[in-house]
Amino acid sequence: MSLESKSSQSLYRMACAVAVVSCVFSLLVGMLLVSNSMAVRMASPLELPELEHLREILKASPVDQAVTDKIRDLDQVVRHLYFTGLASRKMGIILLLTGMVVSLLSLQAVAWLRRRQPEPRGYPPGPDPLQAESVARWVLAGLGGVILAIAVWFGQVDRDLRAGSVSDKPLSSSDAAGTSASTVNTSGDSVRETAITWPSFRGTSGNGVAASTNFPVAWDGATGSGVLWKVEVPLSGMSLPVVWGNKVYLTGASAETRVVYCYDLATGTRLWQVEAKGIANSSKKVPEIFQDTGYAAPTSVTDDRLVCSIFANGDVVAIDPCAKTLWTLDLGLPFNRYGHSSSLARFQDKVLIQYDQDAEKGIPSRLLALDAMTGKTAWSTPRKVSDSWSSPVVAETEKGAQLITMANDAIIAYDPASGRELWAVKCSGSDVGPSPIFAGGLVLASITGDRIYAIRPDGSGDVTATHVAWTSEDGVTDVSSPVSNGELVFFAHSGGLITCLEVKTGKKVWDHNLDGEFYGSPGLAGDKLYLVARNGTVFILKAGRQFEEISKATLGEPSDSSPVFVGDRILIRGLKTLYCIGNKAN
Amino acid sequence: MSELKVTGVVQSRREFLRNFLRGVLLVGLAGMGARVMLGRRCQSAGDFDRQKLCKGCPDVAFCPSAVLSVGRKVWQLDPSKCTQCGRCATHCVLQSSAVKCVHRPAQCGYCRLCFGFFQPGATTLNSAAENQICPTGAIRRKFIEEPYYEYTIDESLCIGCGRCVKGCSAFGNGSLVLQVRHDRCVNCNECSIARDCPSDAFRQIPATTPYRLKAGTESSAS
Amino acid sequence: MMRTVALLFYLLMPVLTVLGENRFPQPQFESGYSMPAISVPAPRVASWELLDVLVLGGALSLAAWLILKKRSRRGVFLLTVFSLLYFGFWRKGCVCSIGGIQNVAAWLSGNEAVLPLSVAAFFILPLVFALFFGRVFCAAVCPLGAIQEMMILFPKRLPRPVSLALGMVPVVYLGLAVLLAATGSAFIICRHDPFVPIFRLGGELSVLLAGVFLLLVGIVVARPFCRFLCPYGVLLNWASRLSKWHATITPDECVKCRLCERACPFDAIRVPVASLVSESRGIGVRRMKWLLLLLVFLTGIGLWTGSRLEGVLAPINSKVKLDQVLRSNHPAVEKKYALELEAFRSGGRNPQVLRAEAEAVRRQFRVGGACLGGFLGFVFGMSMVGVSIRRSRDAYEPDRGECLSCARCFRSCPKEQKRLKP
Repeated sequence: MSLESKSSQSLYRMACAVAVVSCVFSLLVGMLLVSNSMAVRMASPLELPELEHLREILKASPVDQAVTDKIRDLDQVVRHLYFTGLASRKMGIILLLTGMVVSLLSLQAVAWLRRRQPEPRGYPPGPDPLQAESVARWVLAGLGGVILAIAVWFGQVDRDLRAGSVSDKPLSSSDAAGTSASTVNTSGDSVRETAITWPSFRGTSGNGVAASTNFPVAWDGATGSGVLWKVEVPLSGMSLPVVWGNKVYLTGASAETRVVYCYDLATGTRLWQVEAKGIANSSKKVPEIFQDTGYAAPTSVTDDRLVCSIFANGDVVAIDPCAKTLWTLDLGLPFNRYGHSSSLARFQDKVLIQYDQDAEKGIPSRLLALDAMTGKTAWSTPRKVSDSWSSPVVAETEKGAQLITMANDAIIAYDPASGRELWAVKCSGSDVGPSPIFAGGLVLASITGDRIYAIRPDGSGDVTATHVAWTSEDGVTDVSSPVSNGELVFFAHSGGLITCLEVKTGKKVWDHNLDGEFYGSPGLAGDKLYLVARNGTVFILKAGRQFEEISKATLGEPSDSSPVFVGDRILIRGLKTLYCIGNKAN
Repeated sequence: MSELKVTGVVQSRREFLRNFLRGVLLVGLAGMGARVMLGRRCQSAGDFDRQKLCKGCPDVAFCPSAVLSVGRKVWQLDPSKCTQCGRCATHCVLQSSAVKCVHRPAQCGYCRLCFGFFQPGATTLNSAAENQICPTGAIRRKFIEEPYYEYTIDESLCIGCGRCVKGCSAFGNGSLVLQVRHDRCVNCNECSIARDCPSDAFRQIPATTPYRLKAGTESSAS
Repeated sequence: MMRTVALLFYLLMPVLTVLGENRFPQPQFESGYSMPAISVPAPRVASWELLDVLVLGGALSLAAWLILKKRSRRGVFLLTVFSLLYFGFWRKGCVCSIGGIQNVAAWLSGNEAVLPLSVAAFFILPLVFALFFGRVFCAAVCPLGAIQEMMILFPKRLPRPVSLALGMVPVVYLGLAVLLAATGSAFIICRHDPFVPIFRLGGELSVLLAGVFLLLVGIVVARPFCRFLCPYGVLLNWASRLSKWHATITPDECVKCRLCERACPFDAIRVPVASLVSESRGIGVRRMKWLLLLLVFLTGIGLWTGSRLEGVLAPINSKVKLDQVLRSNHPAVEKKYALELEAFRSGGRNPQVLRAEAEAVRRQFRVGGACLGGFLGFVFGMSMVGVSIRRSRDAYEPDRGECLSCARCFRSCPKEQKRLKP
């Protein structure tokens, strides 16, 4: 200690005192500054709920003098607080700095007065160099290991997350209940690409099967019970809604106007509508259509980047989620006796269109693929078939993706990447309405006026003789497409007859006559079959080996729609209205 | 004796390695410096041209007006990209943001009903608190002649929230714009507003032309 | 004549287009009102840059002279105070050499077209000085070091393993900062600079508090930022190991009196070691072989691990993030990024283009991540080799890498005392 002399001792004491006082002072000022910064933030004139509220009131009653006075007072107070707060902060910072400099100087003095002479004899002996060296190595190795482990773990977690989201499987049933909670990483760092989707005519699966199971079985559209929201769609159409995330798209058209609508899945508010007009070369002629088909029968396709829609006059339009038209195209007025009703299909970055026309009049049919982002034709394949109502479906078979199409006289599969024909089965139907499905390893096609064909998709060329697993005359439908859980397949005839066949063998399991006409295709969610009858009654049956009616719900208006399942909600399009049915609690 | 010799050899070998590495690093650093000095064409020739300073020199290194100004950049925001999100007011490192509203009289319509000044739906057109859109009352409104009113910004009060700008661009001529005021900006290496600007409107632009105030040309210069 | 007409036309063009665009025509004033001019204050920063570079060069030279020639701790301290006031409080801690790393990385990767001369000078000069004179920049010029220097009151020694482990943190920080800057994603050094809010008398509260915390820690652990965080310190450390002339504790020959042993608050004084014979040469050689093998292994595993980190690191980039948000199409995410989405939509940008750009950034991150991992693996391996190389030392010497050349130890040497008072 160099504190021998009296003077240096008193100096030391003084320095200590100054240091303590100035430290306490700085601390106090620092705390005041922090609280001041909070206060300034609170008094920020930018977001003041009271003021906003008062302004709202004033808007409602513009001559209310009391409210006006209140606003003026509040405005005055807040601005005063804000600007004096800013000024006092500046003052506070200067005070703090002064305090800190003083405390620093006094502490330096304390440290200087307390300094000791080095006492080398008192130092403990240094560690053994060899041992120190080995410790250093282990420390470095340990630290490196920890960093490596963390990095590997991060990389792995991220990979798992992405692997979970890339797989096409949408939400599992357990996820669906808490969609918003479970699918969004709250940190926002790795947002999982969620799949609350129904991207095309028959959903993610292409079969009309829901990804989750907990859907309501009772509602009443007339009274509104069980209906989360309903919204009148200005222009009618037979097309189904397609869904990506929170956006529901559907089309409506009259003879002159063609519109794509976008609704908010949560609330049903219309986010935007875009009219497809001003399309180059678009025919002014109105196509001749069948009354039941309407001008907006084909269902659109969507993904995160766009919604692509086609209308009865051959106009195709692609719009991004922000209502910006990406491209438009006119395929030429279709000569389809029924009116063009074939929905769009989607494969990778292509939109696939089955553009069948009246072959008897010598107008060729074709199948074409457009680049989804540009609308440029990726490939186009002529089809030697005539027009029908049927839509193409992409099936993920073991031998790769196949685009399955149906027509009156053939079921043809194509390679969706190139348009090359893969296989064909000859048939002899008429006025074919249904679309094919792929279930239990078989392509199931209900050819109106002929039979149901079950085809193994691994052949090539004409496979009529070789790859037809079974055919069935029971259950053939005229309008609606089948739905299957892989084991059983269900058909709904417009006359009300529901038929259940075994997928493997084609044997009839049961049939039953329901009191309704069915144009919309049945939908399957878990073990429940949803059938929308034309009068708006929705039959909910058990999808089992015995007929069993679970319940009956009503829409309250006629509908030719199929149910669209997203998350835990069902969307059904009535004649004029779009209904969103779901459990209110969620 | 021999041990000493060995140590000496090791020493000199180490010394040689050190000298060699130092030389390599020095050459590298010098090369970098040289590239910074010489390697680039004058990228702001346009700016100097406008100021009648460019003498058409081929290279920055020989540019008398640009010895230090070339490559010297300041942060500025492009009004044509700005969406008036309000973050300029809150995200600047300075307590009162360096971004302020700038009024361009040449674009102004001198409207009686100014959408940058009045709350939407204001019934009486006076500067009472309930009518003003500016949360700090930084806009002054002055009668000139029927039916024209002059608007000026008091920058000491403006906090750069951009509410007036939003109103004016939506319904008026767009004469109000947000700009980084360079008497206040400390020109951080990475502007903290730029980092969080949702519309990516902030750019580092040549210090010779530090503002984006001309109508219509903003988007082309970036 | 023609030229005048053409000139008039061109001059009027912008005015006409402006008039064409305006919703409300510009008024014709009758009361003689004239429009005020727009005030456009010039950037105050720009004019200082030449002076900054000159002051930096001067301060570095002065520091080298004070440390190596004059051997004056007082001079170094006064220069430190000057640097704190000038580079810190007056110039607000910007431009600084530490942040300059990022500009250089962004420039070298092509993400930034221009490297301002002053930034280049701030990056290069301290390194050049370190190659000749050691870390004189750290000693007395760096404002971040200077503010911590003031806080060294009761320094305690950290156990060697702890300081060794903490000393690896800056390497990781450096690697990350370079990767993020080179991909045009973020300048994390500037964002997390703990002392700039103090220099500016305001800033983000969390960073300010971190700065205050570091200063308080600095009372007992000398210069915690410089030793255990500063990424530029890593570069200076390496450069300083090659320094031609480095500060020495004693002005002439060491008498091994041990008086300087505890003089260094940074624990950078190495004690004399006799040549080691307690281990057979064979063991040492074998160990070195293993360590070199480990070096290769660590570099390899670093490369592999780093390349897998793209998914974690890439979303720091705003383009990648926005692309993710657009793709997620989920209400909660969209709400969180509502402003970004609104700006994106109103800006009329093409999501396809954004996706392509985001993909390019991701690719950069894949390559860059691998480089980062390989680099870290290599540095760790080299450090292990480094601590295993033994060399005999027969004097008290500063560790050339870790010594900050603060000149504190000089006065503890009896030979120095003798030099001062002959």
